[in-house]
Amino acid sequence: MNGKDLLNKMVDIDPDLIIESDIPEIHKRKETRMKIVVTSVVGLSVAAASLLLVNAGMMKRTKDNQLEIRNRKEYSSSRMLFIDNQDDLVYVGLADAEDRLRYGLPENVDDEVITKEDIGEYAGVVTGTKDDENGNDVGRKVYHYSKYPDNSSILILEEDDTYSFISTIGYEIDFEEGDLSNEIFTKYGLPEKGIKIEVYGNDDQLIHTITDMERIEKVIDLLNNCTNIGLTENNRRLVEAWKDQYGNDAVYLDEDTGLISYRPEAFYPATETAAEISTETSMEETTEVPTEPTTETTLKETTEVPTEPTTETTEEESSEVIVETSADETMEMTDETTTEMTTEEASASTTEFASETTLESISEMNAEPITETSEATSAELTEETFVETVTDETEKLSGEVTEETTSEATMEVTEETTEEIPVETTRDSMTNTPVSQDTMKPSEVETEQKKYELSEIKEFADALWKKGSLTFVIEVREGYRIRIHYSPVSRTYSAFNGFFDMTLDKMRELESILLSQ
Amino acid sequence: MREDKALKSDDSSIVDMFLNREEEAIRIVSAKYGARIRSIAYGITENTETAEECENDTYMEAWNRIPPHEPRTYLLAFLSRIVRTISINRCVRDRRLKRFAFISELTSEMEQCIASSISVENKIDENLLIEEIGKFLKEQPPKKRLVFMRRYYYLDKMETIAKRLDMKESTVRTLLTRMRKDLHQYLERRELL
Repeated sequence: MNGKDLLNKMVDIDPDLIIESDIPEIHKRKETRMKIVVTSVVGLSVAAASLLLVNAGMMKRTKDNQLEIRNRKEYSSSRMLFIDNQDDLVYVGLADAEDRLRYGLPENVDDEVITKEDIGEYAGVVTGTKDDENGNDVGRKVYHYSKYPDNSSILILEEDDTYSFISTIGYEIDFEEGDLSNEIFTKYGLPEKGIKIEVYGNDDQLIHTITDMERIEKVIDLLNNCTNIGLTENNRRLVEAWKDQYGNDAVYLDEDTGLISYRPEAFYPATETAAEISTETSMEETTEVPTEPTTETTLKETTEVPTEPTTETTEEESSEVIVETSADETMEMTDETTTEMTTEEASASTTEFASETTLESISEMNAEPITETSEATSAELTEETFVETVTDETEKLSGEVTEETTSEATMEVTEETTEEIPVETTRDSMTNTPVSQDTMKPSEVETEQKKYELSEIKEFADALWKKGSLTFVIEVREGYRIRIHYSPVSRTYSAFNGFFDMTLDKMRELESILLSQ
Repeated sequence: MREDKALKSDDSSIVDMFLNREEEAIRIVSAKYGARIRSIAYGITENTETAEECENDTYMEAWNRIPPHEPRTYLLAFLSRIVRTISINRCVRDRRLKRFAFISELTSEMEQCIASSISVENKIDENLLIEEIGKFLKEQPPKKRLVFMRRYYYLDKMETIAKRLDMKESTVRTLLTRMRKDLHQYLERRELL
């Protein structure tokens, strides 16, 4: 027996082994085992395009030109398919109303009828999926839509005796740390005529569309030659921004996982009773949580944020978290907490602070609007709330951003922010090192002392990390869209699975081009 | 209605249909396992048209083999074996350079697992050998088992295995090298080599 014989003879191997190893090919992004982000983050990416793909309803099949109705609610989940002969294009179910109208299809999937005449030439076979759920699609045949015989943007997928339209959302590009962003634009052949850029606000509403080629070319030029720093480094920058802003490590980077975690005990004194601690807090889950306040939570003297000098306090003086508030400070609570995660796990997070103590990474942040500056009276302040000034994002982006740097990172702090979060001489606004009661004089305490809820930590982080962020979509051609999320806090833009580093100059120029009318 | 029947038919019922020479059995098997069969064929031949031909040949071969075979509890594995053999033979027969070279590469890897200088008098019992290889694999951790099977049963490339199992290609390569060595030692200990 030789090697060839053995290779052939492998056909007689135990059938259990054959079945066990019959697994579909899954296309996974690298270093993107992101879990649910607890903070209020709205992130839409290729994976989150699944939110648009509610392919529920009735589908009709053809049988000798007779139409049969078949309930296809079982296909309500999203699909992300790869097809041979179609490079690295990702295909999804054609459920988006706008896309459907573009191809001359009924807006509503329920009204769709696929006849024999619609099925064109054979286009290939499904060779892989991005998610386990649709692994059974591997091997299914795909046909051109006879109405668009030469257009591979829209195809017809053959299923178990029925058909459905699928369309491409663009290429799948995997990035590793150190890779340059150029591959995005090379793969898509950018820049090219006819493309446009849609710019979206924090509320995911379209601000405007850029069609001027000179501006578009400049944007692509700015996005080019940026290095992928990877998810961990991106998270590190966000954590550093937190430290710079609030002066503590209540939010920290878990070096083992590269994910953002928090220390809930940092905001609650050891003497706190269980009833006073949020039910969503789970201190036991964090192994790094100290049982007693540590010196690490000592108030950090920062020069970046406060407009008034602060005094350093020690842990021993008090275990309560105090915050200074003023009557006209408000924080707009954001409800939307859609998160960015692996394709397999794409789902929306809740506004509730999860019991687990880990704040998972943010791959793409579509900043929720903190667009209003509202006034709050002291009457609105309760023991459960913390107020923080909300600044107008548009104003900030137009150039009022000021830069203050630390030795570790560059973090932009707006003048408005520093002005509107005044800090008393006794402490920072987010310290977890209390002030001794002895040192506090009634006259120095102008506002009510507050205690933080765990959910508020999430909101603080969310508000901080979303500042100035933007989402814009480069539509190369029909169906080929590159979604980019830009974050000035982490000084990166995210696309596909990469986090691309930007210099400050590039950032400012990008903002200027994207937001100018 | 017929579609529902295909999805609901268990393997035993399908085998009965084969035994009763009901041609609908082919259609039901195609509906139930067609995609998987095509996927296996495509993985080996890397050509869509050839994969479809292999698929069709598989149904014909299954028709011819049932009876006497009655794969009531392992129909998919049964079909998988058929399509694998057909697909490999097509690659060898067609001599398409890429895939033929790849299969040659795999055979040389398999050589490392067994001694090649076997005289006619000392011919290995092939069935026993395969049985022992199966036992060896079952003693391995699941991931190693999957890697080995994907490579030498499904004929996946290293890159494909790495993607499929979310591993680095270099890890797959190293793992397979070690497994071949371990398998060789295992077979030697059992005096099969």
